[in-house]
Amino acid sequence: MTDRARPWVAGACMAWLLVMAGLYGYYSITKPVGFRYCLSHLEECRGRTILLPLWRVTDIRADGYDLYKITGPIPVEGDPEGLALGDTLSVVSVFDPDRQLLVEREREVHHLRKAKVLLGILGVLMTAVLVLVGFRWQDGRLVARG
Amino acid sequence: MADLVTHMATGFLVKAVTRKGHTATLVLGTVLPDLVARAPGLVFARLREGGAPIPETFVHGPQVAHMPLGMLALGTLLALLFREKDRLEAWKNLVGGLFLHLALDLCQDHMGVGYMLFYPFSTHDFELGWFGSEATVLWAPWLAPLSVALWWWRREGACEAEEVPQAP
Repeated sequence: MTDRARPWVAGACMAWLLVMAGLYGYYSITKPVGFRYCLSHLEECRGRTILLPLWRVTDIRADGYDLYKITGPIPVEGDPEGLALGDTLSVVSVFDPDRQLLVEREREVHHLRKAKVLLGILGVLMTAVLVLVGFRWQDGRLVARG
Repeated sequence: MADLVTHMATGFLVKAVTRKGHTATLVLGTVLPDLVARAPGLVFARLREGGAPIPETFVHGPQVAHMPLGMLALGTLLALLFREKDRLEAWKNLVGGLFLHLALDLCQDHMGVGYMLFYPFSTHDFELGWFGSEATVLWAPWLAPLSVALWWWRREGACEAEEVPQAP
């Protein structure tokens, strides 16, 4: 990758990333899986297993709870014992088209999720230090220090 | 995704073994997928939840930086910021770090919802499921200092520096 080819390579990489992002964005909202798809294809989805990895509890009822991640809330029937608002869950569920909700089959509560978020913030700070210590800017180019 | 601190630690461990330069470049590569793909997605998702009129595709689109073909483009793009004579080495380290990140994430278990390795050519997803998605939270507090200490001890030039003869 010479300096002469630099603008072309940069343009090609950015174009590729934008195309991929566009395709993936469209795929994500139209893919034929998940609760939203099942709501518009009730019979096709009868009894279908739906996986909800790392969804957040936004409401708790006597017979279940609501989950949210990007979209929602999604109603889930299951024992709310031990759940709190804001908990992160991974749930294996089955779609019930008659009541238009998910029935919990298996769930995992991610108790360490908040600690992981804190480690993420620490990681961002450490990355900032790494960039400041590990690189310098010289003549319009990045130079690694070691 | 594993936590960022553990991802950085894996970069230092690799450099402790290989003893080659560009440590910061490789370690930067290990955090980029989450910083470029996950962080904007999380921010957009929160804004949407708060009622901001952000299209859902904006939340999903950045995730391609966490996929192999997106990583190659991202690593190449960033390598272009380096001087021409350093560019190839920077590219190797950035891409190495990016794929090291993916390798660690692939070991996790998300109840069978894995990572798309061949997108946009296939939507098949894959994960090894060897440990839970929060397992690394318990590793990070000791792995991070240990990896940096190992890298510092083994870094290129460290041994030679100790052997510099004292002036009489």
